[in-house]
Amino acid sequence: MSRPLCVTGAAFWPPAGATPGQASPEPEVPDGVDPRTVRRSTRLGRLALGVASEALVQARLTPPPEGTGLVVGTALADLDETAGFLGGIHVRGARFASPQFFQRSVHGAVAGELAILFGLRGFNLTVSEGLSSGEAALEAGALAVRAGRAERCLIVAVDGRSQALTDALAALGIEGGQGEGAAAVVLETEEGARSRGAEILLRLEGVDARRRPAPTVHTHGASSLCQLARYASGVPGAAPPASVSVGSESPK
Amino acid sequence: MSPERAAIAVTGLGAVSALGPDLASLLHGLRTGRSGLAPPTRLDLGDLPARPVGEVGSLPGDPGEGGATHRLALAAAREAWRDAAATGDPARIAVVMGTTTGGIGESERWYLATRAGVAADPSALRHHAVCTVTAAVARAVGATGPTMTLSTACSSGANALTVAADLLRSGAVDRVVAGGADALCLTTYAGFSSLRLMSEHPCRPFDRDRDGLSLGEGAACLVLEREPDARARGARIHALLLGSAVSCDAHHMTAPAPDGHAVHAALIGALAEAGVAPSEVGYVNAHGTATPANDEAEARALERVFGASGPPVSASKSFLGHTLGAAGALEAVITVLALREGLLPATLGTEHPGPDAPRDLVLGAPREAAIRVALSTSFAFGGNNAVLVFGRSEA
Repeated sequence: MSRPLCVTGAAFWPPAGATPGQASPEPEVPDGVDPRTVRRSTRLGRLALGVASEALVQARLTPPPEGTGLVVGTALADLDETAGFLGGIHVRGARFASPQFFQRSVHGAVAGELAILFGLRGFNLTVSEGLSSGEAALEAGALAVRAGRAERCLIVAVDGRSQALTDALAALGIEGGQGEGAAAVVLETEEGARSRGAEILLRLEGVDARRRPAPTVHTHGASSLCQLARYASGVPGAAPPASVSVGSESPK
Repeated sequence: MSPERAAIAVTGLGAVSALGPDLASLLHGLRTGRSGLAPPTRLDLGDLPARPVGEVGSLPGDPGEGGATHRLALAAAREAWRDAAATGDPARIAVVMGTTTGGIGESERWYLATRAGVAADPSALRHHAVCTVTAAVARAVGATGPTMTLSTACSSGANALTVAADLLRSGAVDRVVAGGADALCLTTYAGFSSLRLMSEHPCRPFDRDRDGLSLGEGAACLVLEREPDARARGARIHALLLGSAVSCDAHHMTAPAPDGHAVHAALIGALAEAGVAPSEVGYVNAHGTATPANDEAEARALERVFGASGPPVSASKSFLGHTLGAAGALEAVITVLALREGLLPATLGTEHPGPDAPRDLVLGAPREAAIRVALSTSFAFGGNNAVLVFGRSEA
């Protein structure tokens, strides 16, 4: 029988009330994080760090104990790092390619960075399913907790604006703005949440596991998890995404 | 038996690698000890020196099917799906693939040409996103169930199998096509070169003189289903996926934790899920990249679990190169073949095992051994560690 799951922490960015299409300030650097780490990180990494930290604080998991897994969902990861890497090759030649750009260009970079910052040594995945990357991360985290691979999972979805993506979309003749956002939820068993006295924000009944349509490059993979986190946080007018089934009671 | 407790049967296998375009050529290469490592022929290296790589001779399939990674994935998936001879409700068939590069090989050509002021066809950019590889496989096998794309760098293919097993045990699906694929491209070649991790020789895992990895490309897919379901339809079961685990070093983005603590945790976790004692393990297909740091940390973790005289160990990257997102899946296939064929592949190129090497490193020629349980390990950037435990299927 499936183990009932719930959300005990949720955070999202841009913040409630942000004007669509206008840049919002990055999340504040959490207390206790080495500023050098933040400076070395990318914008995508800082967005992920901000929401992850806020969700963990809300779930009263600071520092996150052993048994806390991490799943990151991202559609295109840090595309500007890839472009920076290739741009360096164009300007200086492949012999002078930048190892910093290279290691930050891999999809798993954000998960690796968050794991180091929070000391998360347990279950760790990065999933990428285009527009559905947030749902995919939630689904992977739910599978992991139900399978006992983690007692709880910090689930993060993040995608940023990118000049490289803007250029690619223009080349393809695709119109429209890019999405940008980040969200995090802490997912755990209801039994586990109750045993540690955590506040249950909402119950997760299921994630739509149907095959999703083939994604385009014009994407914002964090949107659904942002929507779920806004709902879990009680933002007025927020509703859970259609792909995620939640308990019928109101959040909080 | 409830789905949650069912063993997972491997009923289909497919592989494309530097040893050839299919599973038979992979097995033949492993039997005969033929290395697939040679200077690259298809890759434009720019101003970089040519290092041995495990290049697939000619890309399978049709250019209209996607980028190089897509074509590799499709060939492996079609072979595995044919091998499984499975039918059923398409909505209950999932596809879980691991890949690191997706369509970056095509994107990088467009990007560099555009930067150089040369007109280039942007249509290949539509294959850039890694999830397009998984979507292409789903279309090819007619699956309309869940899809998931894992991109945890060099452990992606192994992690795809863990997620696939969890999907099956959740009862949400009946079959999963799972695996990994990655094609060689300038981005990874120049990237690993910039990290000074590439050897100018064919790689020598666990050798005292090892000095880096050899890159490779390829794809492997496995068809997985719950063992009772597979037996009920009379499927050929190549092996059983008994357990798996994932952990993270939380130490450094590109260097493994020297003490191998998280690798050890993944080994112990996977064995516990499989219900197998270390003494029952008859073979380890090691990650074995041949970088000094990886091999030392891996050997240390293996010794901590198995003791000084552990099971036979070999490293298949000495045949295929490091195929990144495909590596975990290709090495899982090799581990399954070791169980099925009773054949432990050798580690090529290693002549002088280092003082930190596993005691029983299979060298020179493959070894015949009727083993019951075998492990495959995969590690990645970001400190991601994956361990798979397979068991022989008793008829």
